[in-house]
Amino acid sequence: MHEFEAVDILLVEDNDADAEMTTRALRRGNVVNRLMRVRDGVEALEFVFREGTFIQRGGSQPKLILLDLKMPKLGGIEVLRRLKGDDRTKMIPVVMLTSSAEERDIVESYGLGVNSYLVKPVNFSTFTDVVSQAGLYWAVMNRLPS
Amino acid sequence: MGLLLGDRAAPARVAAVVSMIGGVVSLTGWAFQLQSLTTAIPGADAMKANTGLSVVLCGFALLILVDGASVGMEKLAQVLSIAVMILGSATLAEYYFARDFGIDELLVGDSARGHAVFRGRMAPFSALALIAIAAALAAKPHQRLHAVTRWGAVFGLAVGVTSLLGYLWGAAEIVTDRWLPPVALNSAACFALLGGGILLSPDGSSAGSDANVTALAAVEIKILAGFIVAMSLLLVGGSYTYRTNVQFADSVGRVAHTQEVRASLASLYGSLAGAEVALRDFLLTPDALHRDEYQRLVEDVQVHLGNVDRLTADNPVQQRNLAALEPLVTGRLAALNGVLRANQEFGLLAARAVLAQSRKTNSTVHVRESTDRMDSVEERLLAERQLATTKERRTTLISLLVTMAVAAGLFTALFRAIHREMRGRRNAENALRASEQYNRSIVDSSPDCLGVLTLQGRLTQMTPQGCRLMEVEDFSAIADIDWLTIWKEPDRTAAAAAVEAALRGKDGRFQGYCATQKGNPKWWDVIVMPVLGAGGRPERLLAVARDISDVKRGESDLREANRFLDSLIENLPVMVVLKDAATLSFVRLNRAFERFLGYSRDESLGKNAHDLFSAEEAEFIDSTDREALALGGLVDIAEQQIHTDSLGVRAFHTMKMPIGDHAGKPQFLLAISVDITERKLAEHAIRELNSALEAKAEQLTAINKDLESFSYSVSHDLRAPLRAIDGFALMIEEDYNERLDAEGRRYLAVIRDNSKRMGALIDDLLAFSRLGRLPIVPNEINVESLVREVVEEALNGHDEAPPRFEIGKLPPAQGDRVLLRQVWTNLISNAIKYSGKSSEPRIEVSGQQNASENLYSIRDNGVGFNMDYVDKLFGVFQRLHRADEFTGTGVGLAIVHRAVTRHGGRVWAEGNVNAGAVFSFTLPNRVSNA
Repeated sequence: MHEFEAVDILLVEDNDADAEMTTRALRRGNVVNRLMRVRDGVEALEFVFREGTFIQRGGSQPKLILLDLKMPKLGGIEVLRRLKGDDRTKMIPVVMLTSSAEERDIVESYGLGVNSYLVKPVNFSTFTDVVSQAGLYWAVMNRLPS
Repeated sequence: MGLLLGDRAAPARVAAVVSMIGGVVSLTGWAFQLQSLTTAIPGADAMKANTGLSVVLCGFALLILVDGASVGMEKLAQVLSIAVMILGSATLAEYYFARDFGIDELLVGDSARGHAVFRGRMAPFSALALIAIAAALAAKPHQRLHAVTRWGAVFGLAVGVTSLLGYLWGAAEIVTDRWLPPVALNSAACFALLGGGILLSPDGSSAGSDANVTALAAVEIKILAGFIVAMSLLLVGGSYTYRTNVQFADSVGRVAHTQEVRASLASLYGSLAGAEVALRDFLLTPDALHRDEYQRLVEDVQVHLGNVDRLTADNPVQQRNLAALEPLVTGRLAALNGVLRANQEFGLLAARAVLAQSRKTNSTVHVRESTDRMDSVEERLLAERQLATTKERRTTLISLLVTMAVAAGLFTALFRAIHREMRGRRNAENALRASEQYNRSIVDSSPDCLGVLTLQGRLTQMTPQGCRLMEVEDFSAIADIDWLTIWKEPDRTAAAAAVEAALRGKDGRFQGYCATQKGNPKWWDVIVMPVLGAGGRPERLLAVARDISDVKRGESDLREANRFLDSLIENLPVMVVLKDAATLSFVRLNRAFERFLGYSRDESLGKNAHDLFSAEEAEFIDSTDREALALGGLVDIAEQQIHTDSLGVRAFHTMKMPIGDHAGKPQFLLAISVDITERKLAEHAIRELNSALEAKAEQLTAINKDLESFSYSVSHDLRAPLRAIDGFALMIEEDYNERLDAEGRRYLAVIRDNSKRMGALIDDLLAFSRLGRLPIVPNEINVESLVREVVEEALNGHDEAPPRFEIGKLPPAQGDRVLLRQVWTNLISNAIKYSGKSSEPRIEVSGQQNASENLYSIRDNGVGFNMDYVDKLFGVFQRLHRADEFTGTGVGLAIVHRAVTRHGGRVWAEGNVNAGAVFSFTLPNRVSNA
C-alpha cells in the first residue's frame, strides 16, 4: 500500500483489525478512494513531512488525518503536537479516532488543536457509521485552503 | 428677759401708786373737810370716803402682787382685796335693798355738797368697779383664776374710762340714772388706773416665763398703747366735735329766736295797725263785725306784747326798748279805746275828734318807730348770730374732719404697724417652720435609728427612719418603754454601761443584737450621747443606732467565702503555689503540690525553689518567676520538666502571675502548674499515628495511581479486540451472507452479542473503578434539570414507546455532577428497562428536602423484584433477573450505591414482584468527602 500518489486520507493505526475495519467503512461509504495507512506515529510524521521512508513522496498533503492515540513508539498525542506545531502541517484536519473516551485524552487533544475527536464504538455497525460519516464530512464536505 | 418684765411691772406699779395717792388725797380731804381734795375739779362729784379707802387698799394690793412677793404678803393682798369686795358688795346691797348699813358714815360725816340722800355713799358703779377690781386682785396669784383677774380688771377699767368719757362729753346720763349719783371723776380715774395696772402687771410666779410670752407682751403693749392713743384722740376729737355741734345747734336756735322776736314785733305792729283799721272800719261802717275784729286785735296786741317781752327777757337792751315801746303801745290802745268809747257814747264826730287828738300825742307811727328800733336791734343780732352759726358750722365741720383725718391716719398707722408686726411674725413663723423642717429633714435623713431617751432611760421619741428600720408601725405602742429592756444579755450590760457614761457626760458605745418589731434579726452599732440643757447638764439622752446587719452578714459571708476559697485551692487537682515576691520563698501551697512533688507543706513553706529542686530546675523556676514579676503580667510556660519524688519526671504547664497590693506593687507570685505528662504522651502517640497514616495515605495514592493507569489501559486495550471481533463478524455477515445458512448466521449473531456484552461490562467496570478513585467535586446541582436531561437522553436511544414520566419538584443537591449524573442515568435507565414490559409504563420521580438531607425517589410500575433478595441488589455483578429477561451487567446499581455512599448518603429499594419498585436515596446537605 505504499503508494506515492496523492492521498486523501491518511490513516494512522497500529491495529490491523481496526485498520481493516476502518478502511472498509471508508470505502463502503464511497467517501474516498485514495487512502494511505501507516502503522505508527513515526511513519505518519515521515509521510507528512516527506522524510525517511517517504522522502520521495509527491503530491499534496492529505485532506484528512485519522489518528489513533495509543500507538507504539510515537503516540498519537505526540504526532498531533508535531503536526499542529508545524506551520506547514497545522492546517491539515486531524481527527482522533481512538477507543479511549478518557476526559484527559480529549482535553489534551483539543488543547493541542485537534479538529475533532471520535471514539471508536465497540459495535461495528455503529463504528462503520461513525467512520463513514466522519470521512464524508472531513474529506468531502469540509473546505480546505488551497 | 428681766428688762421686759420690768417694762410691764413698772407701769403697773405706777398705776397702783397713783391710784393710792388719789385715794389718800380724797381721804385726807374727807378727814379735814377739804372739798377741793375730794373732787377732781371744782363742782364735780367727790370721791367718797369708802371709795377712797377701797382705792388705797386695792392700790396697795396691786403693788404687792406686781413685785411677786412672798406667800405671806400675797395672803395680805388677798385679805385686803376680799375686804374691798365685802365693802363694795355691802354698798350695792344698800342700794338694792334700799337699806342703810351705816357703812358710808363709818369714816366720815356728811358732806354738804353730795347728793342729798346718799351723801357719803359711793356710787353703785363705783361699788361694782371696786368689786371687780378687788376680785381681780384676789384671784391674781392663782393661775387658774386668770380669767377672773383679767375680766375683773377689764370691768374696772371700763367703768373708769366710761365715766371719764362721760365727763368729757358732759353726758351725765350715761353713767348715772337720774336718781343715782355719778361716779366721781377722780374715782373714775382711779378705777381706770387700777384696772389697767392689773392688766399690765405680769403673771405671778410662773417659773418658766418664756421669752415668747414677754415678747408677746412687748408687742401687746405697743399695740395697746397705739390703740389707747387712737381711742383717746378719737374720743377727744369726737367729744370736741360733739361740743361744737351742740354749740352750733345753740346758735341756730338763737337765730331762730331772733326771727321769732322779729315776727312777734311785726305781729305786734300788725295787730295794732289792724286794730286801728278795724276801728276805722267800724267807725265808717258800723258793722259789729268790725268791732269784734277790733276787740280781737286789741287782745292780740297784748298777747304779742307779752310774747316780745318774754322773748327778749335775756336781752337787756331790748328790754329797755320794750320799756319804751310798751307805753307807746298801751297808750295807743288806750287812745283807740277812747275813740271807740267816744263813738259809742258820742258818735262818730266825737270819735273822729278823739282820734285826731290822739294822733298828735300817740300815733301808730311812734309805735312803728319803736318797733322798728327794736327790729333793727334784732336784725343786727340776727346778723351776728348768723355769722356765729356759720362759724360754728365751720368749726364743727373742721373738728369732725380733723378728728376723722387723725383717726384715719392713726388707724392706718396702727394697721400698718399691726400688719408689719403680723408679717414679721408670719415670716418669723415661716422661718421657724422652715428651720424646723430643715432640722427635721436632717434628722430624718439620717439613715440610722435615732431615739430620744429620758434621763431615766425611757424611750420618748424615735425618728421615722428609726421606726422604719425597727419595723415599728406605731411608735405610741412602744413609747416610754425602758430602752435597756430591748437588749438581751450580754448586750444589756454593755447598753447600761453606755447609758451610764452618757449620764456622766461622755459618749457611750457598744454593739449588740436587737431584732425588729417584726422579728427580723438586726445588729446595731450604738452610741449613747447626752443632750445638754441650758445649765450644761444632761437633759436627755440620744441613742444613735447604726444598722450593721449587712456588715455582720458580710463578715460571716466573708468567712464563708474564705473557707470556700481555701477548700477550693486545696482541692484543685493542679498545683497552686504562692511565693513572696521579694524572696521567692513559698508562702502558700496546696495538697496537689504535696502530692506531686512529695514535699509536705511544713517542710516547704518559707523555703525557696533551690531548697526543693535540682539546681537546674530551680534556676529555671527562679528566672521565670522574676520574668513574671518584671513583666507584671502572665508568663505562660507551655512545658516544664520537673523531677518528682513520687512519679518520676513529669511535664507541667505552668502559669505564673504577680499578685499586687492595692497600689499595684507586686506582693506575691502566683504559680499554677497543671500536670500535662499524660497529655504529652497522648500527643506523642497521636503524632506517631499521624505519620503512620501519612505513610499509608502515600501508599494509597501510589496504589490509586497504579489503578488508574491500569484501568485506562484496560479500557483501551480490551476494547480494541472486541471491536475487531464484532467488526469481522459483521463483515462476514455482510460479505458472505448468502453463503451462510440460518445456523451460520445465528452463530455470527451470538459472536456479536457476546462482544457487545463484553464491551458493556468493560464500560461499567471502568465506571465502577473510576467511582472509587476520583475525588468528589461538590457543586450545587440543579437536580431537576439534571434528571430531565438524563431522562431525555435515556429516551433518545429508546426505540419503543416511551414510558410516561412524572417528575416532581426535586430540591437541588450538593454533590459531584459526574457521579450524580451516573446515579440518575443508571436508576432511570433501570426504571425504563424494567417497566418496559408493562402495558402502561409509568415512572415517577420525586424529591423531598428534609432538615439535614434530601431524599429522592424513583418509582416504576414494572416487574419489580422479590424483596427476599433485596440484599443482593446493590452488589457487583449481582442480578435478580435472568439475562434473557433483561439485559444488564449487574454493575449499574453497584455504581449507584458506591456513588451515593461516597456522598455520605444512603440508598435502598423496595419492590414487589410484578408490582413495580421504588428506589430511594438520600444526599446530605453538606457533602463530606467520604
